[in-house]
Amino acid sequence: MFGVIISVFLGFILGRFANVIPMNVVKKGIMGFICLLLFLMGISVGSDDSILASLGSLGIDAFVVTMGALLGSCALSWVLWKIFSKQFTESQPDGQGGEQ
Amino acid sequence: MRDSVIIIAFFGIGVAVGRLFDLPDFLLSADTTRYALWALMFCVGITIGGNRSILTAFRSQGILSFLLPLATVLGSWGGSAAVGALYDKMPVMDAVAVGGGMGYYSLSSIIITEAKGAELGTVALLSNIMRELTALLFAPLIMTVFGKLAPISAGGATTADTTLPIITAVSGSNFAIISIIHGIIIDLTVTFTIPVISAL
Repeated sequence: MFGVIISVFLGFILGRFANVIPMNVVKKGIMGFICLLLFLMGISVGSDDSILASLGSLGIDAFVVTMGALLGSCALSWVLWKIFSKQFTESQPDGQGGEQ
Repeated sequence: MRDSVIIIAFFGIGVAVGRLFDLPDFLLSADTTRYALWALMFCVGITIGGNRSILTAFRSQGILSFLLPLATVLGSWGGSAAVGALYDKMPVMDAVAVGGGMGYYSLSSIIITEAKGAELGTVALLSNIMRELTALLFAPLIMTVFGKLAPISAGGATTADTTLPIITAVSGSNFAIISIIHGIIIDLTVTFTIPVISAL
């Protein structure tokens, strides 16, 4: 995973200080690499009979984790809403500066 | 939306190809995947480095534009860790890696596959797609139960684009900017934290 983190960092430096590659090319690159990697990931899954056989139970695992993560996020955002909702109901014309 | 369909289609075609054909080793090799992943992350890094406008938007929205993504992240990690702890089948860190994708199904599943294998990668793909779909389809209910910030938290990494329309429809257009900032910050968070979490 070091390679991953270093790659992001190097890209960040390039993008921040010396960007020579047009952004639309970079974004096409991102889309292209994502499609390639998901294709390769699909091949890994398709050629692995045990994963295919357990797809149903993998789906259940996914569902359970999703619900947990969603509940956690919604619960904490509810706390924030309790604190900040007044800011939104005193209808302000543009944006809501929290700290003035 | 079109991009999402294309991405999932590539995954589906890959599954079909993997199922139907005996493939030469170089396609299945870990090296190809690793170099492609580095190239992907390099490109992602460039877009992060080149994005100046978020700082201005951030300053205009106040502390909530920082606190809301924080709530989303801590809630996702905490909620998935709780699931992992209660659910014998899945180690806690695996669950946190999956839940920590916060809807960013393409990048998180790719990174998790590289670190932990295609099985957990598939769970991550499924889970984060489910998160995006739930945020899209249940936004009104989520808003009613948890308040107007919750649809944004639920949407996670998708709130700058895919779920932005439903969020503004359900919570109001004055939430649009905070939703976009939230989506961008969660994207960044996933990019930096999933590689670390999945290596633990």
